[in-house]
Amino acid sequence: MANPLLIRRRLLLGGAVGLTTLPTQVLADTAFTNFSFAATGAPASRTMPDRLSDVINVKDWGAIGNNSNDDTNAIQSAINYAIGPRPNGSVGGRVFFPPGNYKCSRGLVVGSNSVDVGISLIGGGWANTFIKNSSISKGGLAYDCLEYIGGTQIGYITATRPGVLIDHCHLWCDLSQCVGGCLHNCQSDGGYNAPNSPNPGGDLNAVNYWLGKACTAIASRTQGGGIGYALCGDGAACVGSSCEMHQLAFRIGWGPQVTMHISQAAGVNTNVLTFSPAPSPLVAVVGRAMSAANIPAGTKIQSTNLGAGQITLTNNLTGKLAQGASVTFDHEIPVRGGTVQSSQMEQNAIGIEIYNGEGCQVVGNSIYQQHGYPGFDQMLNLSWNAGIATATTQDGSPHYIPAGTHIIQFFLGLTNSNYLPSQPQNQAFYDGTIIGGAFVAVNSPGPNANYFTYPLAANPGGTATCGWCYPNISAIRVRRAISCYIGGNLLSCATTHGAIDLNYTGSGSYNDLSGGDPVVYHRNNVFAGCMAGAGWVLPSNTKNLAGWKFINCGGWLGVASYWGGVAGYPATVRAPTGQMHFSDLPDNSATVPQDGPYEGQEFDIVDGNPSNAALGQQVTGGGSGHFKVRWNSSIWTRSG
Amino acid sequence: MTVPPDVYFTQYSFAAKDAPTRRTLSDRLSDVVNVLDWGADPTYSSDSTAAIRAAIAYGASVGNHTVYFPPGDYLIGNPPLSMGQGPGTMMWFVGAGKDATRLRGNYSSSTSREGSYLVQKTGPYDRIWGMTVQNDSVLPYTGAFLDPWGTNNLVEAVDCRFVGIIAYEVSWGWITYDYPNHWGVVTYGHGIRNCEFICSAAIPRADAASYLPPAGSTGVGTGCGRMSGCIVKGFDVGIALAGYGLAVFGNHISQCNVGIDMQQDYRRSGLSYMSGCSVFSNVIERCNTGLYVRGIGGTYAAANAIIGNGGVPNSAPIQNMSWNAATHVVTVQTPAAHNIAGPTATIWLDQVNPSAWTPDGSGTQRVTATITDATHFAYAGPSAQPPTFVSGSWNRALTGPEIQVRGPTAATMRANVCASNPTGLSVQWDVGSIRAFESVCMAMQGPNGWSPPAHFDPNMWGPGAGDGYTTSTEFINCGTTNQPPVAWMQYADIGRGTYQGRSYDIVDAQPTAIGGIVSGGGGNNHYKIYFNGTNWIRVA
Repeated sequence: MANPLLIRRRLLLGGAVGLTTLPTQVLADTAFTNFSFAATGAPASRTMPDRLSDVINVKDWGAIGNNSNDDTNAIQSAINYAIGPRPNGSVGGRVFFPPGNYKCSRGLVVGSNSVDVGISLIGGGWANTFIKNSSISKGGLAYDCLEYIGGTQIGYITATRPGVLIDHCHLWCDLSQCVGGCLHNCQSDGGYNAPNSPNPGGDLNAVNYWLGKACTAIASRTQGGGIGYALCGDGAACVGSSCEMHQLAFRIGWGPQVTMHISQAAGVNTNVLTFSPAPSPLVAVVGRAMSAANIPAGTKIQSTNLGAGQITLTNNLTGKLAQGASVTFDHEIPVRGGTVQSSQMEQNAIGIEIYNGEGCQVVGNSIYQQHGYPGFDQMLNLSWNAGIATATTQDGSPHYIPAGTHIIQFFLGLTNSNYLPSQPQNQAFYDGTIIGGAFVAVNSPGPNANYFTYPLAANPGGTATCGWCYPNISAIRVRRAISCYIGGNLLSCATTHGAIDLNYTGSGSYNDLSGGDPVVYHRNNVFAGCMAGAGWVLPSNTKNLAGWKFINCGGWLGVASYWGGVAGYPATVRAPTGQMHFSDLPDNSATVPQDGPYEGQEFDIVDGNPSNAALGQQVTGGGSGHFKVRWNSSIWTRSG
Repeated sequence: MTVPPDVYFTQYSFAAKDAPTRRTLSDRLSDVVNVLDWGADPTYSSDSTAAIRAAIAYGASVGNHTVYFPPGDYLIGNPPLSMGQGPGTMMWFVGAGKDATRLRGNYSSSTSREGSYLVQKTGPYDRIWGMTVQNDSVLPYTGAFLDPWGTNNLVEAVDCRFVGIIAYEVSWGWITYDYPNHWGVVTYGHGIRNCEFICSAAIPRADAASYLPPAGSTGVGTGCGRMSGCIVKGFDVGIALAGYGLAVFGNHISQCNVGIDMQQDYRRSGLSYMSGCSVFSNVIERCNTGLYVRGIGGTYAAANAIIGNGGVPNSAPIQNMSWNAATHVVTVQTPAAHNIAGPTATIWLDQVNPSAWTPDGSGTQRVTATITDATHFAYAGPSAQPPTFVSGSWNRALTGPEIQVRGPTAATMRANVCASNPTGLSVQWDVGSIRAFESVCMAMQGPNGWSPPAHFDPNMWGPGAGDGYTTSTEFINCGTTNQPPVAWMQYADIGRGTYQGRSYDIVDAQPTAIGGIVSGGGGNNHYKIYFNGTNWIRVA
């Protein structure tokens, strides 16, 4: 027997079924889709289809969300409807994704060529709404229409609409070309055992979050990958965010690589490149490095004339580039006004790097190495080759060590100290307990492989449980900083290259410490309130050292074996002061950019001459006096 | 067969999938109060104020305070529209996005300081999310949204756009100016994120006729809480701050007279109305003055980027340029009236191509232009005939200073970038009266010049020397190249810093040897002096 309630419904509302079974009743009925009624307490009647379009539900557009149906077309249709213009001329709206696993086969386009309008995408929480195998971008259309997305998990979002808000989502995100965008309570799991990572191996293109002009990451979290947060626009800020298991946790002054094509008909006969269409101001930034075949290393953008689509380079490229030639601009972008504040880092090779910053601040951060949740790998099996004294591990899950030989750190959970190459110096103290902590050079076939090898003197036998991570190279390092402030950060990590590296001259890769890139330029900076257990690496160009004022900075002389660095790694300076020679003082020479000398400026030098100079007397170099010296507007005099 | 009696659809109750409880659709539809159910008109052709009020009142009566505004333009013809039902209630306004849902009206019944705001909140826990509130009035003291002075807590605006002469006002911030007995802006936990604030007068460009926006127009006047990810355009003052416990970061402010005004005006109140605040990583672009620090206590302003014309869109195109061989003067023709008030003005030539049309050949240069008529101006050009003109544009040069400081109190300013390249100074200290003490300014350059703090003026405060606070700002690694803001102090400037270990650089010491007592000014010796608990001693 039919459900009487259903019959009654049919009776009143009509429709085909009711019409055939109960014609006399139904004739007076209104078809359900035309049946308008009021909400409880409300005066206005509306039909259900009208109500249901107040919020656009992807399931109404055919999406199923069962993790097998291809929902791409349905979702795209819903998005296009939300953008509009709709038949009544209206534009914009909210698209709701009820909890579900929406399998897609291509990226979603949230863009328009006809209307510059924002829409909002609302999920049911990122653990519940998963738009799988997909991304969001404007897809080459004129306007990016993504104004808001919340409560959703998706692969990658490239957003350029000013002020876009990405709220409580799980994703990778590129806000490099955006102004005022915000990542709020977002999470991104990168290279570490993450098959959806855009680059699971982790290199400097694998950036979890690019942050452009006035873009912010607030209370967000990343795990694993090349760079956690790349600040690549003026006023980019990370506040209250977390970053673990990266090559570089936070890098200031680093943007996505861009490739453009030369448009000048006769090829390049000067140092001026012309592009059509013209690059945007966010892409063509003075200081960006350029790479192309035949181009001298170190070639950078000197100036731009975007109205004419032109970029002037620091080198003459006559005859080296033809029309249509592909030119790649590397990541470097000077960032003015970047902030990393009240954020937390663990197990990163580099904590915070000012690659190219002006007026940036790094304040109130915690840079830990070993505390908290480790990146465990289970070593299910170890086989040992006595001939070459090498152990091969069998991982419980794919590791994320890049291909080649890398020094990694084992920590926590070793059940047999024989798994470490030698004892006991590679053990580390942690809260008074000996744990298996050692830097070990391992050889890896590449990310997502399930084994790697490393040397052992004796057969360890059996199975181990361990964790590993990139070795912590430096907690904070600086390449080019003008008018920057670093203060009040807690560094708690044994580093291989000094806790603070103010002489980073690498080409960009996180572990390139070769000094290959000479662009080190420090001026008008302040470093305050810092205890660097593993010491300081000071600028080799000491005019750059004069560009820093250190306030209550020093080393930790306590448990040196842990806090003060690791045996076998470069000796570092325990305090950033008291190292300077007279020749390091600013001298207003034109060849080296420097800060000063100006009246009242003071430094500590170790080679003051005469070595017995009285206070107030002129001091020069070459002696043995450890003096405080002060510029009195014409000479350096002893002031302490 | 007997047909059972009907159940009317609106009384027909049924369960959601897998759920145990039957409810009618009408009941379900009132879970969120939808303004369309109350007769609001989303086509902007009839007044929706009464319908929205009815929806709010119903929500309040049944304890449901979420009001949804489906996509549409809603005419607020009988403003002000109050969000809540008064103290003790809360209200959520939810729209479909700031381009989809718009509340608009033209409200100017009061142009006094109490003003006319299209929408105002009345409850303490309100939230407005995903809509535009726009007051089309361009009269003074009219605005879009008011969070009035009173018991206002935990208010949040997310993903909204506010358009007005005063786009968003918290607690009538001007009370701070005029009524010192009011303790300024008192809202606790106020949050503004990813909102836009647009001046309802035509947004002036740096090249527009009315170079300054309407005087008194304000993007956001706000107090406690957090403001981030916002875009503010075209106001006299972009963000006017007062209050306690406020974080303002990651905002983009452009085309304003003053970008961020940290606004305590102690001349009237004598009290610090802004404390415990941080203002950082804001980008202030094409504003005459970036940061105006009028008096902050226990507050820092850091890593703000004040940037100028370079690479900024909306500059005015140049249609044609000609060069006079006799006078070497370039005449520029603009396709529309150039709006330079004249007879001369400093302008900024942008991306002139070929670059030879700028006097220095850079293609981007600030020049002084003479006005010839509405569409022509001229400037002293290169000495040789430039090649054929292709394209170019110009902006009015910013006048600066990029940072103006008028007495920080227990404050820190650090790592702010001045890159507007104004015609004036980069950093101007001590504008007007002075009351600064125990503050630090560090890691700041002023590439276009830096005016140091003025000397203590004994007539400004109390009975005279000894009560001065004047120069108790310590500067660390600051300044223009070789022209830092240090060593300007006179002996009389030393105010309350007389405790052991304090040291200053002064420029007017009477001669004494190292270690000798420095007892007063009036000399011409530049000494570093140290207070040993009793006397000032020369140490260098």
